[in-house]
Amino acid sequence: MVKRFGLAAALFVFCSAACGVACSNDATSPSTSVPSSTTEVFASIVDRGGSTFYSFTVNNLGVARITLASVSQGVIGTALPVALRLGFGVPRGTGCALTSAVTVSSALTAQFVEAVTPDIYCVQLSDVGNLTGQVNFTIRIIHP
Amino acid sequence: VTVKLKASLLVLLLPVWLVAGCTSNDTITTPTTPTPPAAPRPSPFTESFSSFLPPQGFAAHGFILPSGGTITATLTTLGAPANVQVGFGLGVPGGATASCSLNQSVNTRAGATLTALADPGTYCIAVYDIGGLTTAIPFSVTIVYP
Repeated sequence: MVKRFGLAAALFVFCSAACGVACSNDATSPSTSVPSSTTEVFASIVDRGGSTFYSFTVNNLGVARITLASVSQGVIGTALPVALRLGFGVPRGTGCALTSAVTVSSALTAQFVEAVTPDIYCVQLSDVGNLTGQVNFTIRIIHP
Repeated sequence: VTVKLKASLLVLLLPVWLVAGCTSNDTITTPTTPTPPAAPRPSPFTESFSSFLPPQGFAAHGFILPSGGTITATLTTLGAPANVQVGFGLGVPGGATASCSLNQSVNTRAGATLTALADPGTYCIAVYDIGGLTTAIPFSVTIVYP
């Protein structure tokens, strides 16, 4: 009789442990990872006949979208419909070694859509002879 | 006999305890009233911005384009004097000299419309004095985007 009670008690302890494990809320639901993107803004000035570049780090595989969004003049920043050379490449020495470039006016849709791997890249903006003075510009870079 | 009875009772109640234990959570939660799902945002979406423009002033308003498409911004109203013009522009936030870097701009009275095809992202409109204001004037802008 005592044996039977011992068996029941053992069963009770075992089931308590089993239920404790079964009832725990530690189960994790599948993660829904959304590929994140980073937006960087390169806002500066470019002189007549001048050139300037900006480097940025890509951390993941994906697509970089580069937009020369604004070219303007003056303190207020009236928009200028002037074409400038927008280039994409990799930093080399003290410059930006371009792998591609296009002459564009500012727009709100990307002028460059480039497949990228984790690395350091750069964008460069240059006057192609259209500027008569210094202008302000804003380049938006969205990358993985 | 007592021990046998206790043991039998234990064996009988064990499944009940297990089921009860496994169907209850560790914490008691208070029932909450389910939140009705938010109504989907209409597309195209219309947004308005009103403010006052002081002499030598610059007023900007940002908005988010959730998907690519056409942005149409209209300088809907502009206060007196009737002959004064202001600058009106569309661009992106974060510039070298102003909070809204303009992609396009016009000098105008009320009624001017700017239109641009744009990628998803953050954009802004700006209204600014081009030198004609001697006192602050009210204005309103309507922006339509996907």
